[in-house]
Amino acid sequence: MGQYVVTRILLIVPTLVLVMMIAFFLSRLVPGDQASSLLRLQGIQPEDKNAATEYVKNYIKFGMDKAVFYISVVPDYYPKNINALTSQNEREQVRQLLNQKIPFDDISRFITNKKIAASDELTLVGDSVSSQTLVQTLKKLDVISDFSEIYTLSTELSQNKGQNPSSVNALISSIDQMALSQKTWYYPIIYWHGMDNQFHRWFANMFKGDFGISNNDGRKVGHKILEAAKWTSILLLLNIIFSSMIAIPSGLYAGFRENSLFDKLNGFIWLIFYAMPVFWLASVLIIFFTSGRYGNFMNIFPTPGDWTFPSDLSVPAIVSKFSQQLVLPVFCLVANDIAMLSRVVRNNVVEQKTKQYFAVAKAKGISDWKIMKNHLLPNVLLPVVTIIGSRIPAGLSGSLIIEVIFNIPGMGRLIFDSITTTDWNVVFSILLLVSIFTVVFMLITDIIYAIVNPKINTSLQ
Amino acid sequence: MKSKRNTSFRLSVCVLGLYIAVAVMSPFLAGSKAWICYVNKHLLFPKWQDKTPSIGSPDHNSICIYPIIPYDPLVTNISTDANLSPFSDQPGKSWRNRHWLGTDKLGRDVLSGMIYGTVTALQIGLISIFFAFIIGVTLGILSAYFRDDGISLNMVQLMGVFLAFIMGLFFLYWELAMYTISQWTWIIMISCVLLLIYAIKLLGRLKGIKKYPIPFDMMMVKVIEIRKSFPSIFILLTLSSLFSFPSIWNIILIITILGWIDFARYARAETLSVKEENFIVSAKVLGYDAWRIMYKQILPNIMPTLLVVGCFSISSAILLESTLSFLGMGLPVEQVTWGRMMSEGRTMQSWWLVVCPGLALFIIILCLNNIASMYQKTGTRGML
Repeated sequence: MGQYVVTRILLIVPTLVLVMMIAFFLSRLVPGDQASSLLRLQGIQPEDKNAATEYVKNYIKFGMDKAVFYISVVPDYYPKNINALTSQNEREQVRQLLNQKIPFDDISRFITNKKIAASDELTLVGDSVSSQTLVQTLKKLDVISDFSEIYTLSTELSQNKGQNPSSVNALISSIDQMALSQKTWYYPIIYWHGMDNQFHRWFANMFKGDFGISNNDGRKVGHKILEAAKWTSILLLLNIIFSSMIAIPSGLYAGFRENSLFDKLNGFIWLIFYAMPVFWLASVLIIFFTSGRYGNFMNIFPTPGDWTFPSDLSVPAIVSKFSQQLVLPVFCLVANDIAMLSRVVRNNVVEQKTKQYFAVAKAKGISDWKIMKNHLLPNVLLPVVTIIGSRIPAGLSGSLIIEVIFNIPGMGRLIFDSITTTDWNVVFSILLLVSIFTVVFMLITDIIYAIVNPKINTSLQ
Repeated sequence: MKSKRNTSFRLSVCVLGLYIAVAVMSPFLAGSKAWICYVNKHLLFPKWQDKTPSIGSPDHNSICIYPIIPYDPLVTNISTDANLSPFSDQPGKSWRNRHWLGTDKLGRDVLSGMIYGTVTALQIGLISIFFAFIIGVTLGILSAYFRDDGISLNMVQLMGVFLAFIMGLFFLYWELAMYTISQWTWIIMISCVLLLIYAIKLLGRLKGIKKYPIPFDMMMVKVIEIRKSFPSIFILLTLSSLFSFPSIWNIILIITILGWIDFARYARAETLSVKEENFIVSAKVLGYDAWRIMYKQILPNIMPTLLVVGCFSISSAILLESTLSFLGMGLPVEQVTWGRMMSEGRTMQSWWLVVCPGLALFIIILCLNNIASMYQKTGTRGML
């Protein structure tokens, strides 16, 4: 057994690493980048003078100039690390030009020549029409990323080659060079970036418990998640308590009186609740039972939404404030969860009834109530407890939509709000934490199950 | 066994058939344009013709046949029809023009929306589960049939597979990143893959090189484990926010990616239990090749379980779709869905907008679950 536990714990490590890698690469796929989000948070507008320099500062602070992973496989004409270009516009332009299969060497020559020409242009601003158009064309070159358009601009420029300053002529020749060296085919090249990369940094931060800051309000993501986790765990706990309080007795009795009216009714009711979409149930309950619109007697529960803690933090005050609001959400969660639990209990009882101890107890004439309480329940309880445990990660998913509907500030509501406001740090931190929680919980329930049920094969084949 | 399929099973199948019929017939059931018009001796199909030819004013002989519900699901009418309850008296409406299930805040007809919402729900449920079924069952049977030692490759083949894998992923990624992918790219890539498979098969004939078993089953189990560690609704929300353009195909893609795992899991488990039985052993003795055994012997025997999983998967795919559209994510605004109608009803506090589409959703899920559990009771072995 000890060996089984140790092996299972060791086997979980590669899974966790892979889960983290998936979360990381998903987080790199999202639109927008964090440096400009921080810029917005700092109150710097994109057209401000210091925007560009502040952007570069943020960019380097977040380590976004590093390579993404330990290795990269790129086409042969790509640079080793395109993120090393710190200016946002420049990087975007280079990336677009690279996608049109133009080698990086020629692009970088074009960029430097463009910069030289732009600095030259300040000295040659004159009244003549040609210099005016020259300035305009140079400005256009900064924003255009379609190479055919760049090429047409350069042919326009080269028409009055004699009058152009030498820097502009160099720019024209570098554009010609780009046209000549445009590729049609490419092959992969593998680069090794060492330990100094974004993934390594991210991984290390996550291990230290540093999830970064929220792009919306600049608070620490860890704090936000901790606050939200409180509510989610309250919901989960209430869900488990109530669903087992209802499911275990009803399943026990239904299994004991197999195929009786109660058994059939029990199965039928829970089947209905199981098929009922939880968000539909929640919406219907909110509409009918939280307002006096359909008669005053229907206005039973308060409108959900006020989840701030009362000023005096005594237990009765908190309970009286939240208990009324929590009835509907917990009811929805329980209704959805109970069907499976009740069925598991029932099937376990049916299985236990074939055992000899049951027949003996019956033969001795013990009352039904005592048989259920003293004989069936202890035997059924252990597998049921592990099943309740294994349902907890699934309960997280279920509570997401309930939190959104009832405005409960839990983890589900937090991830939903963060997605709609593109606060990616929070989104992927929650995704990662929830997945790790799931993995660890599955491990724990597996081990407990193996301990309470020695019949299970622990040889790991 | 057949007699055990009682009334509730038959009823479920009938109701499911009704849903499919509604989805297929949706253009005939609701819409503001006529199907067929016979005007001035011209036969017209306004519903399917974008431009109506000018034929002058209709004479007294002209006939038009309209859909039963004369409203498009997306046509708004704020001035007169906004937020009507089904029971409110709708002045100036004949029984034909009545909004039987009311309207939303923009005056869109709820019944018409529900009919077109059925199309969306079934489209997403059936298409995504179809692809998930094919991928999952193939991989599940393969991994259980070959286990960790069924396929052995020599060093040359291994290197070939590795190289092909890296190159394939590389070109796929960069062609997608550069937006240069066309049907020619696909044709070239698929033919390259087929050629490579053939070459690798030929290379297997090389004698005297040590062979190494491929741990295919282990990889499969790991993939299943990793998928299981992401709670579905969390990963679904995250994935659907990655797409820059909302579209029904994104949702289908995501549900396929998330859904094939279930088929793979059950196909694998069932194949493992079937594999050791006598008819498979005798098929092997008869010298049938692996593909034939998998397709003709194993697949039909594990089909009942897969059907159960399929029914449950379709119902959960439909539920996921409505959950997503209820949350307002992933689907374009002009796509009519049950979930979006319900979320509008919730914010507007109009009960008919929540109750009616929700009832449609609830009934189809109930039917699918019922069919699945009936199959489960009567027709399957082991598992589940």
